[in-house]
Parts: sequence; structure tokens; C-alpha cells
Amino acid sequence: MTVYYPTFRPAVQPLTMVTRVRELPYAGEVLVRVGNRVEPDEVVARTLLPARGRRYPVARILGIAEKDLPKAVLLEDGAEVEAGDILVRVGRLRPRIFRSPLSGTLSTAEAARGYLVITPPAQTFELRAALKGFVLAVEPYRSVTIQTPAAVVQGIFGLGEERHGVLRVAVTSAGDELLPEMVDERSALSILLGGGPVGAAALERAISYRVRGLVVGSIPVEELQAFVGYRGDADWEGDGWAFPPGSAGRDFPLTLVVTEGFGRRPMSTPAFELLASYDGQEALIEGRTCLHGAEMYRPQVVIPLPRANPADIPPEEDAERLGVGREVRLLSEDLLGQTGTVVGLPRGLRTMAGGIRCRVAEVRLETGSVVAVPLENLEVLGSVRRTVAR
Amino acid sequence: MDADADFRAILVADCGIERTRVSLVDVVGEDEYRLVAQSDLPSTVDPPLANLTIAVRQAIAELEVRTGRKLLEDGRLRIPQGRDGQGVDALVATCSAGGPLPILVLAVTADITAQSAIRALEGTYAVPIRVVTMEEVLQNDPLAETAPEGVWWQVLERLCPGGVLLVGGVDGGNIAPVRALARFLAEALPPRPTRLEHEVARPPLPVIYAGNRRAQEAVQSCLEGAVDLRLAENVRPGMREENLGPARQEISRLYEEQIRQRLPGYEELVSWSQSPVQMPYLGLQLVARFLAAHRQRRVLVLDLGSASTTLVWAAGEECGRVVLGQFGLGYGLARLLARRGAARIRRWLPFPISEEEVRARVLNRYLRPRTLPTTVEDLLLQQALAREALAEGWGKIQEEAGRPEMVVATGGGLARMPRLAQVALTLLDALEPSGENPTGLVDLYLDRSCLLPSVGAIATLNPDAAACVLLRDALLHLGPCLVPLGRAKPGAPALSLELEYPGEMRQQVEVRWGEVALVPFRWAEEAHLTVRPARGVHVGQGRPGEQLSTHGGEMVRGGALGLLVDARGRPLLLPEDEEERWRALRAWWRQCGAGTEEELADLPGRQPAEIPERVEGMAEALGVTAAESARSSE
Repeated sequence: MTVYYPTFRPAVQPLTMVTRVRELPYAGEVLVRVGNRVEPDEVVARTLLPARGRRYPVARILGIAEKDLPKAVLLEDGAEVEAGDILVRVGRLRPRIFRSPLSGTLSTAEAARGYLVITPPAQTFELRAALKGFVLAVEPYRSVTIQTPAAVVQGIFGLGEERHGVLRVAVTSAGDELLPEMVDERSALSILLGGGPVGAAALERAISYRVRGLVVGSIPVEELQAFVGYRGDADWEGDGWAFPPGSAGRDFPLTLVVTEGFGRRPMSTPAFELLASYDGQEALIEGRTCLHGAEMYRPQVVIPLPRANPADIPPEEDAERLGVGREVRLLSEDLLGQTGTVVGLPRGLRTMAGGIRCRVAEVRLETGSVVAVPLENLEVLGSVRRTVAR
Repeated sequence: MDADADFRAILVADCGIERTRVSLVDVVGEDEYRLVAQSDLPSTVDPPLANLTIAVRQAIAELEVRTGRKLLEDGRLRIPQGRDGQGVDALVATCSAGGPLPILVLAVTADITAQSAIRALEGTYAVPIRVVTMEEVLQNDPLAETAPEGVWWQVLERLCPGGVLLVGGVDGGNIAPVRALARFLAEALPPRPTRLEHEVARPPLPVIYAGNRRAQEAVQSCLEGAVDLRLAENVRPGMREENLGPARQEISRLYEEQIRQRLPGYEELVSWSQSPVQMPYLGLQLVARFLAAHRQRRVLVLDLGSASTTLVWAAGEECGRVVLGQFGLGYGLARLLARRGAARIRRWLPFPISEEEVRARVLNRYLRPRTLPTTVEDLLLQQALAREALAEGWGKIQEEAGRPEMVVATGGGLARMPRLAQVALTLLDALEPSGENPTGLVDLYLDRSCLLPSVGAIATLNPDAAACVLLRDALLHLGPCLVPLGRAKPGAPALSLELEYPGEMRQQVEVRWGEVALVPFRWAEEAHLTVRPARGVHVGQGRPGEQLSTHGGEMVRGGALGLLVDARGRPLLLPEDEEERWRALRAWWRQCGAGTEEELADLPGRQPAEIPERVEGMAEALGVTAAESARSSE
């Protein structure tokens, strides 16, 4: 017997409650209060970001024994130094000196091993809301929790950090490729909605026009390789669960969300229709993708709907359940990206082409035909679309 | 059995990254341990459930329904087993749900010690993410004002979880290079910040030193206080000596601390388990050693999972293993693609498909590793990936493992193949066994229930039960395989063989060069085998044309597939011409019963299995009419 465990939340949710915790990397100052309404660009917290210290092999540079360095240092540990300040002086007849190459704070913790460390001044770090909503909670010095009713479309993978902008529909149907010429001056600072695939040329052009994000159905592998700079298959070898490998911590000039996967496939109709219906609306796009573990995360497009009635939000467990009448997205390679409605959940196992035996759901496709699909190859979409106040 | 009498009814939980299997083992009949029932569910280690014991509990609850035995009471295990047969005496567990541990190898040179370090890592779930040699270190001084993108010491800041394996030199050799490496490593670590210290209190970087023993003190003085230093014996004590055990132990300890102990629900699993939660590869090693001793043969055990591939060999007292972390048929597909390349995967596909399409399909599968192949093309791609995964592992231990006489396959990647012949063909293609041993035969076995890691865990409590379950329930004999070697023209006779059953019934078969033949031979039936190779062809350790017979020795036993003859020659060469290659692959697939003619005829471009005419019948079974089900879809 196979038990159906929904791994993710529904991939397309016309109305749900979105909560985001904005956390400072280091303790700092929170600038908002519980109940405040916040705009995406609003700074909600602020802190100082310590710079990485630089280590200087002073004993080696001055040609002295490591153990002699501590007594030759002229300043105290923790002293503020300016570039050019003399930090070390040795020798009487022919004194040799070491001047600070940069301004910052001196650390003599490693002096006995022959090094001095100078840490440049900390930089101010401002944490922005990125999401339009209201402040649900505040953890003093640390974090702000923002909540809003929203429409959410989840992608299968993406890249790039969280960005916000106005959603703009760049194509006319869910299968249209996002071509370079579809990106122009009007796309600046916006999040573009494509339908089918996108190529590296269009992505480069989007960067040149300062587009903040792109939502597409698919991307051919070679186009993504060209965009992220992979030279061959060997670059798919990562060292963790971040996807694409090597994307963790890397700064991409735009954020990309792919809803279906690799190849040349259209975006699933419910996802495209939902996003297209919010053309011109403020949206948040997140590209981070982690495939496994506690940090597992799929990329998303969130469209805040602050005037929606929270009472209309379907309960979560209801939204996840697979049953007759539910709208589903098919994940089998031959049907990937198609959607349909569950018309039956037969008991027992069914033999698929190739001989695999598994539990299936009978799904009526948009074309009207009914196919048997293994439960593992289904993803529940959101519940029936409701009218939402903007 | 006296010593083990306390543990008669045992539950074994095997928590993998993708599947969680719980098996119930108990005494059946007169003192015979058997697998009573098994439950196999998707794992629940990832969010939103994020607790690996949820799947374990669910599986136990399912076992309760199946066996009618009460195993849980108020959410806790009912231990010990009561006189009424309810409950169990113990639960033991294995766990590989955590994924790999990234390790940076810092070595003096890339050739000798670095290779030993990689072999040490590849005996555990650690993954060597980068090998940095002295040459690279000297080119990129961590104290330089500017550093190029991707410089080695930038990796150190991302190693959380993870660690460094520092190696170099033979015992008693010059300590200067290793000391220099340690000093460079200390310089490359981010300096302790002068402010906000409590804020950036990241745990110190674990560094395992397994190099020249004479340099231990020097390394300690360079790194003490700056890193979490752990010392192990040298992986290369001498130029011709390798000592991987102690380093592997340290790496396993690090894996336990950094990966397994951080798994959600792991602590609870540990508290349930009667013995320490085992690494699955240790169970496989135990099984391989047992089988090598029990059958007096050279044994190779393969485990092809979703996120790791393990190969263990054993012969007499010797044994060895290779564990490839994040390298498998689900969560390990990206690394599999990276290591083997789309071109190698594509060569196993008997239909027109471009490398780009192969890459896209493999990566789509990696993004959704739990999906099942539903078309013949998908299934063939899955099996092509299985061949390449096994070939990668086999390439790493082939030299030391020698020529196996018994191959045991386990893991979801193989056990879930829908037909036994597909497993056999995958093993033959990936390993290319030559049968160069006195019998000339290689016996293929499949563990359909993926019990082998569990058997290792049971052995910690009750070795009798483990042996019983292994021999009675885990191993399914696919059949003996005969491999004629040498040269002949395709289609020319390769050998003729005769099976002589007790009672003088004889069966004669001729096999042609270039085919994979399946000789009917009933399962578990015994017969004497006589093989007469054609001119220029030999079998086992015989000379070309020399007859081989089991008369006067042990009889051959039939397997679930019968007897296999792989007359494709060694090494196995696939035709270069595309269409010829497809023809050959399709012929082999058909000859050994891996697929049907209809399935092959459907390749490529077949349509999804449409079933409109069957909706009515299915709906009736559910108690709704077709009209209702159509309405509900609107």
C-alpha cells in the first residue's frame, strides 16, 4: 500500500496567508511595531555588518621571530587605527616599522603566531520588508514577521535572491517563448511573466534592461548552462542541496522562477492564468531553491492581496488533500506541466507501461481524455478559484 | 539460540532519504526466523512534515493492520512481546536519510596521498568536494591582498556542515610540506572578529589530520585553538601501504555529529533503537562477509539507492567498499550526470534522443526524485542511469575486488525494476562479469525487499535471526550466468551447453555470439552443466575450445530467470553506428525477457496510456457512475 504524503504546499494557491520572517544577520534595531502596515521598500530593521578581518604576517614581513611580535606592537588590542599608522616597530639602530595598510580595528589575538589582524569598520545593513503586508510580530533586536493574504505560485526551481516589482505579462499565452525582443524599456524594474521557455539571450537582455525577475514555464538545459556559466556536465556536481549547483550565496542580477522544469514546455494553465490576472500588481519573487533537508525551499511568486478577506482562505489541510474533484498537476515526464482533474482513485495497484506497479489516480486532462497517473507523479493545485478583492 | 532468546520478535526500521521501510522479523514454526511483514512508505524527513519518525510510526501502524498484531501502545512501542504474541522484543534501525557530508581534501600532492584520502572519504557518506594541493595553495596565498573568484579558501567559509581532511607524507618522512599546509590553512581561516563575538560564534571548522605521523605535533601547534582538530593514523603510512580504516572512522564520527544528529526526529529514533542506529553500508559489509564465508565465494554486494551508491566486496577474510554519497537514481542524479556525462547515459537508450534531451530528463527527475517512470522510454532511461551509477562504483573497486562469483543487488534503484530480467541485464551491462573462476559461472541475486541493510542491523541483536532472514527471505536467486570469452563473428555459434537433470533428462541449447540467451532452468532445480565452447571461445579459466563440466563436482542450481548466457564478449562494446546500436540494445532487451515486443514497438513517440473506455468500469468499482465522475471533474 502506498500512502500519499503531499511533500509541498499546493503549487498554485489563488488565496492563502503568506508569512515571512525578516531576520537580521546580527542583532540590531527593529524599526517597526506590531500592526504597522509596511511597503516592500520600507526598511524594517537595521544593523551593522562586521567586515571580514585581514590577517597580516607581520613577523614574516619584518623578519622577526613570531614570539617577539607581541612586545613589538605599539598599540593595544582593539585600538582603532587609520591607514598609515605605525603598528609595529623593531630594532634600535635601524628600526623597521609596519604601517597599517587600512583603517579599522586592530586585533593582537594572533600576534604570538606572527600575525596582526585589522578589521575594517562595520557597514550599515538595512533590512527591507520586500513584501507588502502588516507586521504580525517583532522579536526585539532580531526579526520582523510580516503577514499578508496573497496569491502564490510555486516554481520547481529558480535562482537569485528575493526581489519585488510590478508583475508584467510579456506573452499572450502559456506556451509562448519569452523572446529577447519582448524585453524593452518598459520592463525595467518589473517582474516579467513569460509562458513557455526562455533563452540565455532573453535573460541577458532582461539584465541589461534592469528587469528584477522572470517567471517562465521552462528553460532548456543548455540555455541555463550558458546563463550561469557552466561549461559542461561536470558543473552539475554540487556540494549540497542548493539548485542549480553552486548557486548558493552567488549574486545573480535578476531572479528567475521556472514553474515546470527543463526543456521547452508551457507553463501550466492555472499558474499562468493566475499570474496573468494580476498584471500590473506588486509582486515578490524568490528564486532560492534547496531540494532536501531542513532548509528545503522551492522558489515562489507571491502577489500580496491586502484587501482580501482572510475568511475566504481555505484551511490548509483541505488545500493539501488529494481526492476526486481536485485539480492536479501531472509530473510524469510525458505529461509534465499538464493539469487535470481527479475523476477516480481506484484501490489496488495498476501496471503501467514498462511494467511498474503502483497506485494511481484517474485524471481527466484539459483535452478531455482520462489517463491513469501514479500518485507519486501528482501535485495538488489550489482549491477552486475564488473572486478576490484587489 | 539461547544467547539471543531475548530478542525473538524484532522490528527493523530502515530510514532512507526517499523511502522508509519497516520490517517485522519473528520466529515462525520451529525456531526459524522469517520476515513476517514489511511496510514501505515515503520518508518524512523533509518539510513540511520534517520528522523521520512520522514515516516509521505510520509504517508500524500499517504493519499492525497487516499482521493483526498490536505493536504500538499510546504511541509507544509495545516491548517486550507478550505471551499473546502482541508487541515486539526490540526495534533496531539504520539511517541514511541525511545526505552527504562535504569535505575539502588538503593534500601535499594530487597523486598518492590525495588519492588515498579520496578513497577514505568514499568509504563513508562524505563527498570530496575539492582537492587542494600544495601547488594550488602556493599559487593562491590566503594573505594576498586580492584573490581570484573561486579560490580554495573561500570554500572553507561554506563548509558548514563539512570539514577538511588534511593529508600528506609517509610516516617518518619530511614534515615540512605538511607543516606548511597546516600553516596556510590556519592563515586561510577567517580571523576571529573583534566585535560582536557572541554573534558570530560559529563552531570551529572540523579538520581531520591523517598524514605523516611525525608531523602531528607540528600540525597541532599550527591549528590548535583555531579549528576543531581530530587526529587519525596516516592514510599512507608507506609508499606501498594504505591504511584507510582510522581516517574513515573519524569521518564517520563527523558525519554522525554533523549530519545524522541534526536530522529531525533522529534523537527519537535513537531512543527507540535497542542498538546504535547503524550506517547501511556497515550492514552490507556484514552481509558480504557472511556470504563470502558461508558460500566460500568471492562476493560483490551492490546497493543502488536514491542518494547513494554502495559497492562492497568480500572474499575470505578480506573485504572492501566504496560509498558514493549524493550519487544515485533520485536525490543523487545531478552528481551522476556530472560524473558520467549525458553521452555515456545516452548510449544505453535504444531510441533516437539527443544529449540535451537526456540532460533535461535527468535533471527534471532530480527536481522531482519521487516520481515514477510511467513510459518505456522513462524506464529505459532509469535503467541507463542505473548502469552508469554501478559502473562508476565498480570502476573504483574493480581492481581490488577481483572477479566476483556471486553478485547481490539491493536498493530501490534495482529492486523496483519491474522485471527481474531488467535487473540481470543492468548488472551484466554495468559490471561486465567475466566468470573467470573455476566454475565459469557468476550467480546473480536480487534483494527485492531491500532487506540487506536491515539484516546488518538485526545481526547486532540476534545473528541467527539475521542469517535466517538473509538466506530465506532477502536473497532471490536470479540465476547463474555463463560468460563465453574470446572472439567470434556475430551470429556464429559461441557455445553449446547441456543440462543433465537427475533422472537422466537432458536439455541442450546452442548460443550464438553476440546474444544474451535465457536458458529455461526451473528455479532451485539442480542439474549438471556441460559447456562446449566453439573454436576461439573459452569459458571460465579454461583454454579456448576446452569443455567445462560440473560432473564430479557440485551441481548448478536454476534461478528465477533460469540460466543466463552473456555471449557478447568482454569488454562489452556497443556498436558505434546509432541504428545498429539501437538494434543491438533492443535485441538484448528482448532476448533476456526484459521487455516485450509491443513495448519496443512503441518506441519512440508513444502516446500516454489513455483509458477513456475503462472509466466506467473503474467508477463502478468505486460506487459512482461515469456521469457522476464526469460531473465532479467539471
